[in-house]
Amino acid sequence: MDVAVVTATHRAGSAGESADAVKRAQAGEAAAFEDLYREHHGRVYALSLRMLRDEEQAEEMTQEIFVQVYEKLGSFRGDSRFSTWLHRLATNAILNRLRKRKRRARHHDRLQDEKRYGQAIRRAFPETRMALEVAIAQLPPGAREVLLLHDVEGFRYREIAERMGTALGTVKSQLHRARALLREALSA
Amino acid sequence: MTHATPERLNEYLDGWLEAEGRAELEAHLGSCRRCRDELEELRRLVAQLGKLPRAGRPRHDLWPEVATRTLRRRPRTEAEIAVRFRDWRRLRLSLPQAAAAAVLVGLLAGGTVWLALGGSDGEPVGSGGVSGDATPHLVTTPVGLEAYDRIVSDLTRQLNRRVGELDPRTVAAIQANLEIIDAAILEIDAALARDPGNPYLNAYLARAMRKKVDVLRRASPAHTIERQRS
Repeated sequence: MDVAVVTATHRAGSAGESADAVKRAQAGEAAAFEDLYREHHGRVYALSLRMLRDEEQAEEMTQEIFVQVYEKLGSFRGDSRFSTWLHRLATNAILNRLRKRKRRARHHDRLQDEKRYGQAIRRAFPETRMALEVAIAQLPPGAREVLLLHDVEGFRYREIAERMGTALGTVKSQLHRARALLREALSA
Repeated sequence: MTHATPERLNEYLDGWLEAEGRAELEAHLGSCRRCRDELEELRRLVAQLGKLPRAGRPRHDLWPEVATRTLRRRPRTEAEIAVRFRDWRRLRLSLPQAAAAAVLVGLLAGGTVWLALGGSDGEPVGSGGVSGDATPHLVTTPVGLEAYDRIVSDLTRQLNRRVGELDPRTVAAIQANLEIIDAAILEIDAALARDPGNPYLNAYLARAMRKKVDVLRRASPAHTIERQRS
């Protein structure tokens, strides 16, 4: 588990991360908590948007995650970087949401409105490669989550398997499938 | 010539191949342009994915809503913040295993490690946590260091969960008491490390440990609020 976190930590860690802000927020300083929000919300929102593929839900998810961060801040002991801890919490919250959503409606498996999603992506990431973003959004569920967590977010297979509650082999095959489908979509 | 499967190329790229498999594939890549191109394309795709922006901008500032749901939920007192964000120091005695066992034997022989805990007669204490409810009667049960640690941790969690229901002055008093007891435990522990067989220190340590559980148990909101009302 610790090993699995290394890559995510490496990619997640920002040089400007302030351990001091974390301590101050833990001591109840509102401004420090706002600093933490300002520093990290963009990453949480990006992951939420790509995973949920819905602007409104991504915003609501981001807020929900920071409410959870606030409530659990006391349990952060500094064993890992704050950004790693937060990202782990965010990923779990998003995966939980996806699980619930999947139970409720299968139609969410397909991208509902490509144009609307494209606009949301452009607003969120003006500089991004649109074709790639849309191709990712069109990947089947499971494959999309694994690809985002591994190739975009930098998690390792093992940690993805743990978080998604699936076998390592499944993660591997989902990732390979996602990459193959992406290549196909991009070359079409 | 057998070409490398996409799975194998993916595994190679992600560093999953063992040295032998890697060497074999590299030898093949050296002589197979098609597989080299495949791998290169895959590598390009993964590189592009890795370069996607990691942070995005929501349509509007989400902070006011977050702040409303957290900071402005209700004003929090200094004492409440202090308890909420701090777990009471868990027992981490520095005594080596053998010495710790000796301490327990000594304590049990002296009958001083009996903790007054809520529960019914015969209910094992320390195996599944402790009920924080006010109890009609008390039973005494001997516990080991590990179980003791678990009990303290459970009671602390209960206290932290419901600390908002307590008067801030009560919270501050509880905090001060626990600080004193923790300091005493650490001090006795240090003395016992030098003189593990000392019966006085053993008994003193047991008393301090029992006191800590007692304070935590009495501090449980059910107890305290009742007392505040009466």
